Amino acid sequence: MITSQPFYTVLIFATGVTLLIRILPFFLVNIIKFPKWLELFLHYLPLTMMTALFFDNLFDKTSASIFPILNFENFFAIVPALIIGYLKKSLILVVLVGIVCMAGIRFFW
Amino acid sequence: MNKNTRNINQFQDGVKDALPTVFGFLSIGAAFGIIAASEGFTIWQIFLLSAVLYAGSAQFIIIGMLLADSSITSIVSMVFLVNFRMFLQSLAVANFFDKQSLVSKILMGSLVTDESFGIFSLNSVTKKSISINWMHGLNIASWITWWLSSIVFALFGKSIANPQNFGLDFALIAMFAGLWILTTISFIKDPHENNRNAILAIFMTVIVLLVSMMVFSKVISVLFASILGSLFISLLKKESYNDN
Repeated sequence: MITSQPFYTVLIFATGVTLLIRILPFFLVNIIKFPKWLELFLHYLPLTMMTALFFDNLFDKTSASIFPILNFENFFAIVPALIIGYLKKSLILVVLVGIVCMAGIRFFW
Repeated sequence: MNKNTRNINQFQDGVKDALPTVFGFLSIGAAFGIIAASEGFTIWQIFLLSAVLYAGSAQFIIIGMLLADSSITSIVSMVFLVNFRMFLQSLAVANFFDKQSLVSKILMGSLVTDESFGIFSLNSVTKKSISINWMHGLNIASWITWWLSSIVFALFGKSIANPQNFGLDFALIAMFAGLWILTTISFIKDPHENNRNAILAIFMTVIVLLVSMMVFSKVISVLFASILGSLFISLLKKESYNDN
């Protein structure tokens, strides 16, 4: 059982910090005029952030090697999902194909 | 059509567009609920973490660090680090919707996540119509799914045997894969965009990610990779602007 006191202190401070991170930009945009490079940075950010968030899931950090190791299970489940995504341009189809492929891999592997 | 019906329709479109996140949130919210409940957290505490803090990976970290008796300072610093990428995401969203009321800003900012940011950027690069009310619909539908699934599965989850067997835990990864491929396609198809730039940006991001993972945690590596990848391509493009 977790004692309540540190829980609520952590909750309050963690929420405060997180809200500040999330809300502050909404007030900054009206105060600051962004230079050209920052506009470009924000333009490309969705692409690079999605790339990082996705590829991060394909690799594992292990103690055995300094190099990140490809996670084959995730890799083989995601390839058919990506092909469907490319052909059909549908996000929900990628999710469904991914789930089905992963279930299949775990069942047969 | 009067203004109110239009606002409601836009909100509903946002709710519909949240469907891909709903799958991912259901499974990860469920995992969070089950793990937190089995570690002795109460339903009320699980609800507060999911509904008030509302920050997926940070919630898992808090649970783990509280159980390990970590200091409050180190837990909060870790949460700051893990959530810092939201600053950049919020900045991009805020830049797009620069004219809105104070309440609307606070509401939209409070509910920005990787997933809603992903859907937002996908719709903005594919030039689908998006509005302030659409964004609220997307955010609020995702938020409700998240805390509802975490408390429902905290209550009943133990009776469900291994959700992994159905591949459901893979939904979130598949969703990031989908967001990635669709965002990439729209960048490459954009007639104002040089194809080489998008491919170069992806390539740089993956390289930085892998190199950074050798030294730093995954959380920090994702942050480094997205910042450096985007910075690299925007400085490169700015150079070519100056040449013209």
